[in-house]
Amino acid sequence: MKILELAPPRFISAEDAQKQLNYVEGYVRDPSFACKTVVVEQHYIDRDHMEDHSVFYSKSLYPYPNFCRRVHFFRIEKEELRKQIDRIRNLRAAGADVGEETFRRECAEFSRLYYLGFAVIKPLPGCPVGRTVLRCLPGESGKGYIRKFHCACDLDAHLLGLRLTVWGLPFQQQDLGVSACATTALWTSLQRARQLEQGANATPAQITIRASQFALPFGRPMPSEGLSLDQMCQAVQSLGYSPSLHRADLFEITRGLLFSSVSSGISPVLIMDLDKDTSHAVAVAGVGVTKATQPSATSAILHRSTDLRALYVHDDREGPYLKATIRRKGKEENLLVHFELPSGKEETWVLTHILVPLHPKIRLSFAQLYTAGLDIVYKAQSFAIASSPSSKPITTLWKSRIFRSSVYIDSLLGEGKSEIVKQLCNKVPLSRYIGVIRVDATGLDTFDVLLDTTSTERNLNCLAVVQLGKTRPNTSEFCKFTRDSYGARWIA
Amino acid sequence: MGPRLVLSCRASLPVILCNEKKATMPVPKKKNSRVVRARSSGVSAVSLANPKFRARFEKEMRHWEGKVRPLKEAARSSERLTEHDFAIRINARG
Repeated sequence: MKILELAPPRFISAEDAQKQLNYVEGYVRDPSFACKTVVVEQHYIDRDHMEDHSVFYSKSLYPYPNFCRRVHFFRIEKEELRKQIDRIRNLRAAGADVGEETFRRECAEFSRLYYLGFAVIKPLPGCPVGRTVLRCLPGESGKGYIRKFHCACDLDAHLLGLRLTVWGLPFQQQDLGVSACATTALWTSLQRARQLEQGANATPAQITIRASQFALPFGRPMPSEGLSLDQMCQAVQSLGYSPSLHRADLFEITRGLLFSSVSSGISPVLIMDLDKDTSHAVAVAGVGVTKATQPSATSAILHRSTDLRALYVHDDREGPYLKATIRRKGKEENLLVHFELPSGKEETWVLTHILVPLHPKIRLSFAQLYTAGLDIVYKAQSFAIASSPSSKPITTLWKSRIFRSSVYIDSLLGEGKSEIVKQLCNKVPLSRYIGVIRVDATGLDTFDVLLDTTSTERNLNCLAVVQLGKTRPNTSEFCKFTRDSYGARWIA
Repeated sequence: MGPRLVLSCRASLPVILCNEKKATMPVPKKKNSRVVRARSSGVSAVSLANPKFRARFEKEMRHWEGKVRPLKEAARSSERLTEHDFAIRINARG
């Protein structure tokens, strides 16, 4: 990052201060991206920095600027980049012949082929990396598992008249003035939550202020001394979300909740312990899962989270999309999160809590959804075994997720289930967010059970049983049984 | 006049030798319904109205309900938090 000519920090080593920046450089230089050109915007107003500046840095003796620089990364040579930008701009400038739609399509295609994302560089020598959105790693890892970045989304950046789009999740490093790891992890998680509802993003300053509104267990809020879990929940609540907090006691449940949250596109914040005095928070961007579920030697009920091998987290001490392997020590119930850091150092943290910021209309937590799913799936397993003509082991696979109902319907259309969608839309009024239990049982066609997330565990409202295939005759019998058991509609 | 008994006669089937039978007998047309396909693949349609199947299903349900009960309890207990949980300080630096 010599091109940025950053001022050296005064009392800490450049290596420490620019660790995240070096990580970003290494990330875009990776052969799967092969960045060839960077474009630097010299005067960029970043909302997060502006807010941090207003609350904190503007009151310093040193005149920190309120503007930043922004670096864009492209996988195309400089001359070719110029030509492409000119071509698309001229296309729009040509007038009415080329509609806005064509221009947007060209911008999207250009972004898909060449744009790798951007990094905001703050005028703070000790912590230069501001809001950074980089393209997610490719799905194929080449190491026997697939990467899935469910928590990423399309984000726009405007450069030289073009609207560039990148598929990623925002990252930034902690500055220890306005934010430490707890604030930054929440900031990332809420960026994703806001994207689901098209709202304005919370800035690090807003999060820290809201967190320390009612309690200051560790002294002053700024410079940030870290937050307690209580304060994190306060911040989430006051920013319009419901903090759903789970203790990570049992390996299987913890893994299931993590998988459910991430595969629902809701970025959970992981609270982890390294030792008694050091706790850390990171936000999850995606998962690494095995290509096919390992079959069980005996009859079993398996949650799809058994496929989970790794998490991709935004660690504000290191960088974005850092791989963390899921581990378990012997028969201990702790879920261990193992990092191989870019420095070559290895760290193993114990996951203690999962904090999920949920839309307030989602009253059903992931743990409650998991419990409801178990209630459905053990019946499916029993039915599959009772109806099986052979004595071969029967495995029932299932997963539990929460989606916007429109996203679920869109996914059904993507699977070619337009007739089912027609029936579902005509017969069942859906809540804004629905809990979806998908069951794959031997001898039965795949089916979904839809739960109303505005209801609670004691008075759970089952909306529909959606039968997704008609090749196995026993499925209808079981779906009818499920419909009658839970008072739902049967859609087939 | 009471009802008349009417007798009708039908020509008897010709006697066919075993080796000729295969060649002359009409091949029954295969139905290609879902049920036939499923049965031929070894899976038969079951009904919960069948008491035998119902009993087998309920027996399996009792077994599997016992298996998932500890998991349900663990999932519920993951949400039972204490003051200690909320007091954890998160402040890793880097």
